[in-house]
Order: sequence, then structure tokens, then C-alpha cells
Amino acid sequence: MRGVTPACARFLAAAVVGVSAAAGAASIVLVRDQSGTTYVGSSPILFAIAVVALAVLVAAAAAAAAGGQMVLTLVLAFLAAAWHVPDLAGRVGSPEEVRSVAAAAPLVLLPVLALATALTAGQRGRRVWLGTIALTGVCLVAAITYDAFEDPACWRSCDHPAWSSGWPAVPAGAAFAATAAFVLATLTGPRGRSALAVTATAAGALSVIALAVVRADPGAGYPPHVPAWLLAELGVFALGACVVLRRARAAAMTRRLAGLVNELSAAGDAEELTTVLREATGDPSLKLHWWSDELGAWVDPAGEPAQVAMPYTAVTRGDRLVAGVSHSHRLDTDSLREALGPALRLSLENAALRASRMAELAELRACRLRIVEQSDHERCRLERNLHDGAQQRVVTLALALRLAARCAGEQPRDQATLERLGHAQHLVEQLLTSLRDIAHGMHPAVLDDGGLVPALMEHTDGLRHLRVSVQGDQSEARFSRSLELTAFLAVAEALDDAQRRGAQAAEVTVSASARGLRVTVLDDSDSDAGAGLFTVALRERLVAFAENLDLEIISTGSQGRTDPVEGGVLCES
Amino acid sequence: MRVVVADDSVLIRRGIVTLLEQENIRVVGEASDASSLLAGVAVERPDVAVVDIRMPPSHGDEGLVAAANIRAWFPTVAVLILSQYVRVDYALRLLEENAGSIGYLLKDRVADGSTLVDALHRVAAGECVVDRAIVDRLHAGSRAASTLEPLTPREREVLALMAEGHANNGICALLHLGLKTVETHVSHIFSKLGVEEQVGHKRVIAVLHHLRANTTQVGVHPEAPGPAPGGEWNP
Repeated sequence: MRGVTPACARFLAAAVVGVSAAAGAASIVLVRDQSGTTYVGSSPILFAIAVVALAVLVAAAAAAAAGGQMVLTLVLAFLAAAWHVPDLAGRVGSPEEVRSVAAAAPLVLLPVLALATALTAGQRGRRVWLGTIALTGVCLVAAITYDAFEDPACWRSCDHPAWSSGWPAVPAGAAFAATAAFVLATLTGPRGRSALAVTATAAGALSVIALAVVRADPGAGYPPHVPAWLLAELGVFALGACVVLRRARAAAMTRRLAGLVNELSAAGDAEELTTVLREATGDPSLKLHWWSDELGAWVDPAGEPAQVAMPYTAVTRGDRLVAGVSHSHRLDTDSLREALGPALRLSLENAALRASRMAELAELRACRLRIVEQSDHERCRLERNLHDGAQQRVVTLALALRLAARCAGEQPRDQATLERLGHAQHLVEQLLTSLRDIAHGMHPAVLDDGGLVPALMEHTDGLRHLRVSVQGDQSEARFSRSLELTAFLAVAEALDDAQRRGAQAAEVTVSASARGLRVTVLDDSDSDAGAGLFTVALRERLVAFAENLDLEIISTGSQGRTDPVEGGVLCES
Repeated sequence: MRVVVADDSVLIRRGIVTLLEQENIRVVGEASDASSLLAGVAVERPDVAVVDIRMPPSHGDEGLVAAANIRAWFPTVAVLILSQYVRVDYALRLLEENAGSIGYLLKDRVADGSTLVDALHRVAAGECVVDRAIVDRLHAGSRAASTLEPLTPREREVLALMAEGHANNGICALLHLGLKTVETHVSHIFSKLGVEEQVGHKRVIAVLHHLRANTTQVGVHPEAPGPAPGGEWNP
């Protein structure tokens, strides 16, 4: 109905509903006195029942129109107009042509009834439309092969062969069976199984089966299947009632939501929105999800990829998927879709934008961590290579020099060579020391097999101008290699800096926090750690681990303690 | 003296073996990992096992574990650990897990034949050996500085040798002092440090711990860092 103004659409819908009501009423009124040949005319009670069923179908068409469901409006209006047309076949005095067409009408009603059932049960999409088209084909073939059309000269008055008295049984049976199968198949459709959907499906199936029984033998004189006819009427009554009920529920939910939306703050976050929606729908299991184009997946409000449970109601803007509201089976998807007004949709979109930003941020953070971890892995590998490769070879070289010196020391003694070898041995010793220092600077081995506290102890053992005590449980829980290395490097640099600022003593405290590690460095210098304390590389690391590492650097010599700073942001006081 | 050598690097193992043979020490077995080392020790019952700290499979502290096992199962076999790192915690762990006849040397020392041979003889005699690089590191670190303040330069020298695991008569020989003098120095050192006098490997552990940790009370309570209001933090 796009391109039609709302006022115009409303007028059209009202016209369609009005015409269908008039047509439906006409078909009932025309057979009111046809006792013995029609169901409606057989008794005032049956007539009243037919009137009620017609009224409910008309009301349902009006409700669907009010809910903006134009296709369902048309289908229900057609059903209302044509539902009692088959009775015209029994109206004595009508032209044979009209009676013959009326007798074939149930076959035309079948696909309409099936489509109304599917739409009321909330089923949409290609399978419904393809199913309807196929069904219409089958039903039209069955209608055209109706024997009354075999000989236009005599219509229903002709004598027919016994096997095809009334209906060609095979095409008609096929049409009924296909319709029943289609209606039942909607139960397995992707739109969930709210109580309303199940009821509508059951009502549709009931009508189809009852219709098959009632119309199996239209030429049988006095209507023989009153109970089946009553069931068919009951079926459409229930179907229409489902539509009306759903509309009423949606309207109530819309009112509740409209009331609650006013309380939403302008920047209503996901949590607030979820609360509002849960309250309005009365479904505590309701959850919000956002669609992330970048990830091509649903994400939860924290930006993490999430599985969306069925059923869910999708909120779209144009062709773009914005949000998904997953809820319990009891809640009707269409009612919820109707109830989500423009204000709420805007809030959802805003929150979705925020969520997608969060998702990007989370991905960025994870990426930065991966880079740091990768570089640490590389550092560790290099350190191992230095130890197991270069250092071992230098030790071997030292051994070889030692053996050579021994040979030179034997008789006859070669003093000059001995001196050169001695010098070479000295150089090799220095080489070993510097190799060890390089490896230690890359990745202290004790960090890997001992942990942070032993590594800090080991590091501070050798500090010559700063007395450092390291507090912390030696058997503390282990953290990721990169986190421990980051904390180690930060403490090492902070202690160097404290030393430069003239500190004499320092205390390092390591403890596990809820999110990871908490490290405090206390020094007794008079000046505070400057903003340029850490190297750029270390600052990057600290930002990457901002979530998991609380680092506090306090100089107590001056004003006292600074505020705790988190991951990488330096104290300034 | 009979020795078993364990190191996963063939080059270094061969080098050590050649060196020891030149020093008239019999190498009765070689091993490239902890399990073959234990098997070799079980069969040969050598005087000393020379063990690399990092061995397959994980290249972690297999050597330390193997040392503890050898000392527990074959108490007559002394163990000398060779390490590529200066690791105070490993040295302390080694001393604490084993009662005497144990040593921790930097691998660099293998090129210095006399240090290695001397260490082998000392551990075989039941002493402890701690690499001087570890003692130097602790001794030079400023944590030790305040502890060592009351000691005379001579006493500091004696303390360093104690930390390296030398017994009193070893210290006399190295410093060219009389035994009585050394004993006096030792008792002075312990009384100045306020530590109960110990002998053997317990003495080494006590001295190392003292050098490393006893001075670390900076006077700040971990629960309440920072100075009291108006007060001054004076570590």
C-alpha cells in the first residue's frame, strides 16, 4: 500500500469492508426463507449463527484494516462477502447459472480461507505466497471441472453420470486435501507459535474440513450435514475472533508503550529500553539485539556477538535491519510489531547505533590486545632462541678457548698465545654477560616460570640505589603472559623513574583484582612521576590492558598519595 | 672422582666432559634429559651429578626437580646445577629443598676450569656452592646496603664467602686468615645481623635470605599506603 496516503488508504479499507458486509448480508438474506434447500434458511437459529459469523468476519476485516494489514483486510473482506454464497445454490427460483456458480463457490473459497488462516497465524514470506498460488491453481481446476459447467445448455438440471453426481470427486478431494495440508503446514512456519497463531490455524483447518463435508453433495435436497455446517461457521468465527483479539491486544500494548515511552530519557540505553518493553509486553524473557552490518551478525547491547532466540520481531528502517526483539512464544510477533511506535523505533535505532559503536570498539580493543600478545610471543621466542642458540654456542666457544689455553699451557709453554687466549676468554665472558642482559630485557625468563612477584623480586635484587620491597603472594594466580609482562615493564620503568627523581626506597604491591591485576608502586621521592614517565611503546601496552590492569604510582614525599589511576593513565599530582 | 653429566646440548656436554677429563675427573655417564640422568645415576652411583637446569621436555625447571629426586633417592650423590640465568629464587629453592651436597653455578663457569672443579670437590664433600654472581647481585643491591652497614669491610667479605657456601676452613684458606679469626668474624656477623648462628647449608640459606629480604620492611602497611594525615612517610 506504499504510495497511498493514509487517509486514502483508510477510505479504501472502509469501502472494501462496507461492500463485503453488504454482499455477505445479501447472500444470507436472499436464502432466509429457503427452508429445506439451504442451511441458512432452514431455521432461525442457523440464520442467527450465520449472521454472527458474518459479523465477526466483517469485524476482523475492519480490525485488520485498523492495524494497517491491507492484504489480510482484503482477504477477510472477500471471505465475509463470499462465505455464504454456496447457500444460494439452494435458492429455489434463482437462475440456473447463478445456482451452478454458487454451488462451485466453496472451491474458490478454499484458497482464500487458507490464506486468511496463514496471515492470521502470522506467516509471511515466499512460501505462503507460492503455496497460495499453487492452491488456487488446484482449486480452480477443481471448480472448472464441476459437472454443471459441462453442458452450458442445461446447467445443474441435466442428468449426470452417477460417478460425477454433484462433484467430480477426485479434483475436489484433491483441492480440500491440499488446503488442509497448506493450513497445517503454516504451523511449522518460521513465525513462531503464539496461542493466537495456533488457534487461528486450528480454526482454519476446522473450517476447511467441515466445508468439505458440507459441500460434498450439494444436490442432496435438505441440507444433510448441519453439525458440519455449524463447525465450519465456528471455524471462521474463531478465525475472525483471533484477528479481532490480536488487534485489541496490540492496541492495549501500544497504549502501554506510549505511556512508558514518555518516561524514556532522550538517550535511553538498551537496558532502559528493555525494561520498558518488558513492562509493556509483560514478557520478562524479552531481549534486545542489534544488527551489526560490520560483523554481519546480531550483537547484544554490550557489543558482543549474540545468538537470537526464536521467536523475534525484527525492527527495520527501509530495507535495513536495525534491531531484533526476541521474546517468549506467548507474545504475538505481529502485535508487538504494531505496538512499536515511531518514538520507540527511534530510540531503538539510537541504541542500535550505540551498540554498533560498542561492537567496533570491542573489536578494536581485542585487535590491539592481539597485536601486543603477538609481539610478546615473538619476544619470548627470541629470548628462547638467544638462550638455547646463541648463548649455548658462546658457552661452547668459551669451553674451546679454555681447552686451547690448557694446550698452550703445556710444555713447551707459549706465553704470547696464552695471553691472547686469556684476553679472548675475557671477551667471551663479557659477551655472555651482555647476551644474558639482552635476553633478560626482552622477556625475563623468571616471569614465565615464576610469575610476576618472583620476577619483580629478581629484578629489584639487583637495583643498587633503590631499596625496593615487593609485596604479593608468590603463589598468586597466574595471568596472561602479556598482562604479566606489561605489569613487569611498567613497574621496572616506574622504579627507574623513581630512582631518577631521587627516591631511596620503594614498595611494590601486587594483588589480584576482580578484573585482573592491581599493582601499586610507592616511592619516597619528593617529586611526582611526570606525564612522560613511560615510553610510547609501554603506554600503548598499558592502554591495551586498561581493562585488566590497575596501576597506581604514588610519590609520598610530596603532597601525599595521588588518586588511583587505571591502566596507563598516569598520576599527575 | 666419578661424575655424571646431563645437558641437552651435545656441544656443551662434550665440552664439559673433555674439560673434566683433562682435570683428571672420570665422567662415567652422560645424559640429555632428566629420565636418562636418573637412570645413569642409579646405575653408576657417581660422586657428583652435573645437571643443566633447562632440559627437555618443557625446558623449564626439570634440572631442579631432577636434583631433588637424586638427593632424595641417592643421598650419596651430590648435585651441581648449571644455569644460564642468575636466578636467586632458583638458588634459594635448591638450597631449601636439599640438605647440603648441592650447588648452583652459572654455566659460564664451565670455561673457568678451576671454579668448576673446585665446586665439584666442595659439593662432593657435602658443602653448598652458590655462584658468586648471585651473591654479588644480592650484596651489591641496595637492600643489602643498610643491613651490611654495621659490618666492617672484612666482615662483609666473610659474609659474601659464607653466602657462596664456603665453610669456615675454606674461608680461612681464601682470605689467608686463621680459623679462630674467621670463627670470631662469623659470630660477630651473626650477632650484628641479629640472626641465630647456623652451620652448614642452613647458614647459607639464612645469609642469602637475610641479604635478600630482611631489609624489605619499608614501613608502609600494605592496607594503608601513604602517610598518616599530617605525618611524614619515613621508610
